[in-house]
Amino acid sequence: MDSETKRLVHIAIAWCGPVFVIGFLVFWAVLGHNVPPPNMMGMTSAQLVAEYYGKYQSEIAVGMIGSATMGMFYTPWSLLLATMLRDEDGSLGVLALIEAAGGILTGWLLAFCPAIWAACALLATSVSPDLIKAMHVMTWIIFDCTYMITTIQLLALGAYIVLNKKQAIFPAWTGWCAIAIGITFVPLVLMPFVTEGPFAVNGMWNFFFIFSIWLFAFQIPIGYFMLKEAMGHKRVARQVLSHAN
Amino acid sequence: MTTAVQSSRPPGTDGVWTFLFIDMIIFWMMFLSFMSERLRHVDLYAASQLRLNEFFGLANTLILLTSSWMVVEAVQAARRNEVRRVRRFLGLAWILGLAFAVDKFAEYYLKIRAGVTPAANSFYSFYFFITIVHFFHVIAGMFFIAYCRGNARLRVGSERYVTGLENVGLFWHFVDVLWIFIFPLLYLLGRR
Repeated sequence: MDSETKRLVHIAIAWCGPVFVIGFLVFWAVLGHNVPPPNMMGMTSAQLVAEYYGKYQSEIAVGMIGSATMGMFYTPWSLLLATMLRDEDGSLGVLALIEAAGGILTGWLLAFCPAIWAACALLATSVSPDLIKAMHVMTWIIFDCTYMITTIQLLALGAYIVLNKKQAIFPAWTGWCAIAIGITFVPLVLMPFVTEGPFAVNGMWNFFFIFSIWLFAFQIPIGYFMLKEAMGHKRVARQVLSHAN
Repeated sequence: MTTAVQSSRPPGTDGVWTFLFIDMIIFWMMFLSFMSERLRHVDLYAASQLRLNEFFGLANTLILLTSSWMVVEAVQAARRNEVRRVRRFLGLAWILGLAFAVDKFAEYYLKIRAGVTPAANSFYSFYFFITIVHFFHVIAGMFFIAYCRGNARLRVGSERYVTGLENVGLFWHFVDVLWIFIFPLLYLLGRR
């Protein structure tokens, strides 16, 4: 592959980030009626079916199938990011590999869980509400309580940026942000045990704060610098400077 | 013979200031969430707060303030190349950090034994969440202090060591300042 083709491929993959964010917001958040999600731990099975799956059946089904497609855009974006976390000898070190692993697992989760919720919507009127609630709760616990797959991605990315003084793609503050955002996911461990308040599945912290900062405070700045690197602006500047020296 | 390291620049490095700023934003979000929830459930929060023993919190406040003072002394000693004083004050700071940890464990143990858990209500969810996150910062600070103390004999006198110790000092003071906000917020606000 010649360098110009490679550059175009990288730019296309860098745009997978914004496509994921917008697509997931439209399909999962809006069509899926997840702003916020129903407070499953505080609802009976009948309430969950009547007030959520039964009430918005078609929209949720379409939204979740769309989310299952959009979710996987996260993976190529994360793998492109990994290629930008190289060691000085050009190899992918362990931090890049951890970031890649976290991105692959997170992408899988973002596709897998919506697929199950789509099944819940499609079966809402034909199977018992208890079974629907069991599938719904189990999937949310998988979705939220495996947060470490994203936390390790963010911690590895942050550690690379902060510790690697010679890298010039990402400013240091993005690394610190990534570390901080990864750690804010930890209260998700409380989600299965609380029925109300900020740490419930629809709570101010465990839903609004965490998803907002992950989607906007992580994806946007990192995506911006990835796109700049993919488009070659900084690489050209570095080459010019090295020639001048 | 090494000469004293003069400090004519702001303490620490840009990286640690950036980290502290971002950490401060995260804690600010926690405090904001807490206050927002408190306004919605005033009676619940007031009643739950009464089950906290403010003397644990007061003890931890005094411990961290004293520990911060020890770190200040250690930084001053490092700037004057006084190895023994650096090790002594860092050792005292570390011991005080340990006292904080013991006090915190005792408090958690008594709470959990009394049936007060993070899932009991949203006040206790916040109480455990905020204090545990802060506690992790204390543990990290103790690790950094121990590391600096261990390296003091070899490296006191170098600007790099002094800068590193200043970074640790900044972090430790930040941990202390956080507790000064956490203690009244969780233990005292609205208490009658």
